[in-house]
Amino acid sequence: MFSQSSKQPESKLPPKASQPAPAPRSPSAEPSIISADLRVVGDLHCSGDLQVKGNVEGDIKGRSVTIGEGAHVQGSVMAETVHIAGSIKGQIEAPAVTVARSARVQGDIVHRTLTVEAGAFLDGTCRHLDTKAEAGGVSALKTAKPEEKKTATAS
Amino acid sequence: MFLNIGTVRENQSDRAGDHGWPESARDTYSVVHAGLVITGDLRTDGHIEVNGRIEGTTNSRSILVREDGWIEGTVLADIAEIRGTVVGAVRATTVIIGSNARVHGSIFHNSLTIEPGAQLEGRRPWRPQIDRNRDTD
Repeated sequence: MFSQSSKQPESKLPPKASQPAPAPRSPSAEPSIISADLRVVGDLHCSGDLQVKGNVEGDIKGRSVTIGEGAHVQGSVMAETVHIAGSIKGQIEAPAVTVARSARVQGDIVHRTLTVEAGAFLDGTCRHLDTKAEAGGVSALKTAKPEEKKTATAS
Repeated sequence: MFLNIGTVRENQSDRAGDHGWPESARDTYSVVHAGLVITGDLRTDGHIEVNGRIEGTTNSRSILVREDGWIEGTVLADIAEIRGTVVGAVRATTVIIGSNARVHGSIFHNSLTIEPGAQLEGRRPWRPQIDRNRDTD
């Protein structure tokens, strides 16, 4: 009488695989904005552009990342293009790095092309991406103590 | 009649970059676009617009989760307009659930609007007061 009732698997939550995160439709269209008022404790992964004006405690990965004036970032930034006008404590790794005069960088910069505006505060080492690769990657770099302390006076 | 953040905003401007908000309000307007994944908690006294994905708790004055937006975690706000997906509790004084919304979790609210077509799973208890600055109990 009681035949094996087919057990319905409990699926209260939408399965992640069939309901993936929204596909980036046009990531280049408009940047995501972390406003001055917003505080993020955690990591950000962005396939598009990202403007940080607020506080981020965590790592940022993106394509084009702008750390605006007044922004505070505690964590590493990895992107294709990074523009820093705010304060950051952590490693920056990008082929193109621009540091504005209002910036305060405490950490290493790994770059291919680096632009530093006069007046920017840099505390850390600057290394070329290729050199970094020879030196054994990020881990080798992280263990290296920042031995330089300088205030850039020329771009 | 209904308070509708999205509609109000779109009347002002169709570009999130400029927000269509007065200059003074831009400091408090955050946008999580498609392509951005935040793994962690967000806190602001301003507005958050979500087109991307947040895995963590959001605590804001107002939040708009658009159709493509996805939040896995608790949403705390004064005004929460959900048009995308929320997997977790929604705790807001005013809650608006759009027709394409999917909410898998309890909704704690003072005033709740649900448009036809919304997919809801979970309790929808009424709460006299939602205090987003107090941790969930």
